[in-house]
Order: sequence, then C-alpha cells, then structure tokens
Amino acid sequence: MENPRIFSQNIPKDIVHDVLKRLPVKSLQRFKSVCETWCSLISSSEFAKARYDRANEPNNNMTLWRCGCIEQREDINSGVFSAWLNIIDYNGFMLEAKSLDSFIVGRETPEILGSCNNLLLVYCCFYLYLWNPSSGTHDMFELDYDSTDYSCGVLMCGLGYDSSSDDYKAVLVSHTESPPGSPNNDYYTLESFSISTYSFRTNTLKEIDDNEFPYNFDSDTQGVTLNGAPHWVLRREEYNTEVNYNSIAMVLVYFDPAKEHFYELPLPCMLDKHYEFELGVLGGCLSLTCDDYDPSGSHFETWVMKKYGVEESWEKLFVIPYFEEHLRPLCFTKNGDVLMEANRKKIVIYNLLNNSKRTVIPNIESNYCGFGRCVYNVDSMVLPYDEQRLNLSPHNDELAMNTESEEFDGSLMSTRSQQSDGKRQKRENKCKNKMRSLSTFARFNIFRRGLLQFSTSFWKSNKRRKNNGRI
Amino acid sequence: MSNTSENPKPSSSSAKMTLKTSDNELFEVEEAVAMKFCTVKQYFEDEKDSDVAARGSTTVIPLPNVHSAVLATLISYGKKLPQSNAVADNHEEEETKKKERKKYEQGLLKNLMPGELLDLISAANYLDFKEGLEFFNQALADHIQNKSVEYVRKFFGIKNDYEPHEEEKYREEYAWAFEGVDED
Repeated sequence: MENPRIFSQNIPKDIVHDVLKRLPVKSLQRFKSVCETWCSLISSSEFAKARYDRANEPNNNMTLWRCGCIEQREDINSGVFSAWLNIIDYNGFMLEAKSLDSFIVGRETPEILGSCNNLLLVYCCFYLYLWNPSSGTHDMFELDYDSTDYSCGVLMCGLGYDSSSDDYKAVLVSHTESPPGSPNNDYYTLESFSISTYSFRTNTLKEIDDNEFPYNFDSDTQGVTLNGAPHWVLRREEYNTEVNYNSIAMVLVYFDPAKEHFYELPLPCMLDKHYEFELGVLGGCLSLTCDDYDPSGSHFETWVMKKYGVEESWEKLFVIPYFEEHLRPLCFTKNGDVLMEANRKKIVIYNLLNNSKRTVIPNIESNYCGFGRCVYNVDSMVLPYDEQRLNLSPHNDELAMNTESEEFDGSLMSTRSQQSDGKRQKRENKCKNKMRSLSTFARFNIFRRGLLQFSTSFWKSNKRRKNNGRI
Repeated sequence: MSNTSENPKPSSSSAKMTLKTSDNELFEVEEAVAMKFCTVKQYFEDEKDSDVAARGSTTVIPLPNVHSAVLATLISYGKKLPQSNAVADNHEEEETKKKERKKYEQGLLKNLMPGELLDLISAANYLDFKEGLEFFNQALADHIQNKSVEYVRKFFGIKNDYEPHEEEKYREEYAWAFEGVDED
C-alpha cells in the first residue's frame, strides 16, 4: 500500500516551533547546530517567550520553587535601615518582600544560614531565628557570649530537620582554640572543634561528642539543606610527614540531624583539581558550581548529583561563560532559565540558550544586598512543624507568658526586650551606629566578625530563657 | 476498506459523516469525532450554509492530503478523547477513561515508526486536529530529545548550512550539550 510522505521533507515551521519548545535546554543548545534557521529560532526572544508561556500553562506539572534573599535597604531621607526578605517566584520575578524588622533584634544585615521546608534559619546580632516567612511565625535562640575574643567562635552553621522527632535542629560548629597568626585570618589551623545542635522543638542546646570532624573550612562557608540535612563542601587536610606539607582533599559533608553525626558524599572525580565550589540544590539534586579555564576563556560549570550518594550520577548540567565572580545557581525557572546569585550580592536570571541575563535584585544599584541566599520550596512541602508547637516547651516558665499572646509577632519581641534590655540595648545601639558609618565592605566584615564572636562559652548555657535577667 | 464507527450510543447523536482519503477510501465517522478535525468542521459548516438539508445527508468530505492508514489512526485517537457532547461522567468513570486513554496512547506510540509519526503530524496539521497535534508533537519531542544533530538533520530532511569549522567550534564550546546523546 503506497504511503506517500508529503510533508516529511518539508515540515511546516509552526510544527518545528511547537516541537522544539517542548524540549529541555540541553537538547535545544545542541540543536542550535542543526542549521542556521534552527539556531536563530532557538536563540530568539519569541522562542523564549513561547517556552515561558508554555511553562506557565496550568496543566504543566512542576515543583514550585521560590527563592529568597535578604536585602538591607536604607531610606535615603531618614537613613533608617530595614531588612527585607525578597521573594522571587519560579518565573524569576519579584513576588513580594517580607519584613524582618518585626522580629529581628539589632540592625546588622540578617543572614540566612540555612533553609529547610518552609523555614529559614536566620542569624542577626547574636540571635538565631527559625522563621516561617509565609506565616510570619518565628522562634529565636540567643547565642550567649562573654568574650570579645574575635578569633574563637562559630564558623559554620546549618539547618536540618529530624523527622524521627519532628524537630528542626541547627548544627553549630565552632573551634575551641585560638588559631596561630593574626585574628583577621580567615584560615585557621584548627586543633579541635566543638559541635553543638540546637533543637527548636525543645529549645535546648546540646554539645555533641563527635570526635570525627577532620575538616577545615573558610569562615564564609555556607551550606545547603537537602533531605532535611545540611550539606557543605569542606577541606580534609592530611599532614604528610614525608613531604612536610598538608595535602588537601575537598569533600562533601552532611550532618544527619537524627543520628547527629557527619557523613561524607562523593564529589565528581573530574573535579578533583578544584578547590572552590559553590553548593546548591537544583531540581532536588545537590549541585556544585566551579570555575574553569580553557583557551576560549574562563567559564563556570555546574554539576548535579542526579542520584543522591552515587558518584557516577554526577552530571554536567550546563556551562556559563564568565561574567561575574562567585556564580551560584539557585534554581531553574519554569521555562528553563537559571536563577542565580552573582558575586554574593546580585540575583540574576540567565538564559542558557542565548546567554542573555537580567538582574532581578537589586533593582537599584545603590542598594546594599545582604548575604541571605537561600532557596526554599513553598508549595510542595507540607509543614510538619505545627505553628502552635513552635514555641512550646515544658522546660520554660517564660513560655507561659508567651502562650497568652495569640500571634508570634512583634509584640512578643517587646515582651522579651523588656525583660532583658540592658545589655541588648547596648548591643543594639552599637550595631546601629556601626551600620550608619561604614562602607559596604566594612559592613560585611563586621557581620563576619560578629559571627566569629560566638565564643565557645555560649554552648555552656544551654537553656534559652532560663537565665532570664542575664543575657 | 470502509471503517464504520463502533458501538454507536443510542443516547448521543449518531449523525455520521463520510470522509474520503487520498487513496479513495471512505470512512464513516461519528459527527462528534469528525468535528474535532477543524478543517472538516469548517467544510461541513460551509456545506450546511449552502444546503439546509445537508445535516445527516451523505455528503462526502474529500481529504486529498490524508492517507487512509493515517486517518484511521487519527480517528481512533479522536474517539478516545473526551467527547464534547457526551453525557457527563461521574468521577470514577472519568478516571477509568483516563487510564484507558493512557494505555491506548502508550500502545500507539510503541508500535509507531518515526516516519509514521511525521505523517500523523502532517495530517493532524492539515486537519487542524488540535488535540492530536498536541499529542503527536509531544511524542516527536520526546523522540528527538536525546538524539544527535545528524539524526535530527536526516529525520527532518534539513541540510547542514554550517561551515565545518563553525560547527566544530560550536561543539567544543558547548561540549556539555553533546554529552550522553543516543547513538545513531
């Protein structure tokens, strides 16, 4: 039976367009080299729009990610600073901004140290907060300090969720000995670490007897939380006595909040010569971004571990020519663009097909952008951490007072501040004044040093509001 | 070979239309299904305007660009779609129908040669069969997603208008896009 193929050699342009817009970015990037017509089609802005529109069709099933970053804004007229969480939706547009000022104490730029489910771990002025931006509820934990030793303190922090006890825990890694050399040294040769976890469910800080922490890291190492566990890229140093120097291996480490122990994950062996990685989560998989150089110039590569824990499943996802320092992909938008943090102070959307980019934040160049980088998934996770239970603990008398107020909002803050205002007020004022007079870079340093100011003694006071009058 | 519609529901309209393919085969199709082919619908409505008694008559609609094998598949797919004039099903019936349709779709794709897929797309395009086009275009996208550039060129009959050195340069620069591609 004859079967004439009338259109097979001459597929109408509309059909080609319709088929192509269904393809993932990797295929499209490859098919740009099919012919010049396809190349200009794929790189065109009409095509980008068609893919964008298709991604927004209601029956398109995609996990809805949201990305948030903290921005400290200054009112030009009054000079008053305010801290905001900018929330960007999965299309790469600013959705809304949530104020942190209702519960943050102090006027340094708050920093997001971790995110898990819908909750953010925020640090500001010696307090750690567990905050739900959607509902506004928060829990806080004061990191005690009585030392002005700038060289000791918490250097690494992460947020995890222990499903066995339905508890959000912050893990805090601090070192217990002064490093050799100047106190401004980012790099510490550490003899021993002190590791603690703070449970937000029971509001208790607990030191962990984990002697197996043979790692080192820079002071601005930030992790990501995946599957309820915080992950970091750390250095394992082995002192080689024969050659008399440290051999360094980069490792991927995570903290299991239930077992309260650190474990390692394999890095892709192709990246064993790299030392600087930005860690992220893309499409539910751990991602690593590092820079590389070749004859055509330098570029960033992003790899993802498609199957958690399986070394062979590391796959190069995309490559971006260099345009800024410290590129850190945060998430994919619905139509396949990459939302990323650039140089620790900008959020940019990058189109992988035509290399165009758009800055989402800051909208105005002069705004200082805080360090709060995070990606949190708003819709697909059921929040197991019930709001009513957020601040309840039988160990804490003060809570009897808290439960009287129906909402955890700014009014709670004022209650607490009345009780323990002395030292805190002083500290607040100190921070406020510092904020006003310093340049951006200096502000960063103050914040960083602020983190370092948690001395080891904080972990000795283990009940949050037990010491009511003493701060 | 004439294809009559199966299991006509006494409750719904059993008006039929006859479609004639390029190889002179006649297909008797329920109106509800045939109306999904917008080209047919347009033709039918034009006919109706010109002849009041056309409804239910034996008008034969010619489809010179569609072969019988292709039309058979499209009609068969059209029947599996939710009918606009059907009595509303309860949730359970809807779910069952959905599952049936999924199974049918999988079976259809499994036995389909790539060339046949192109024919189906062309015909669906000519007939302006939106749901069919959506389904088959997606099937084509899934099919070529991981294929090499050479395969795609051959498949679509596209001539490579790049210079060899241009293509080489592109492959080097975007090497990551060429990794893990199916063997031809």
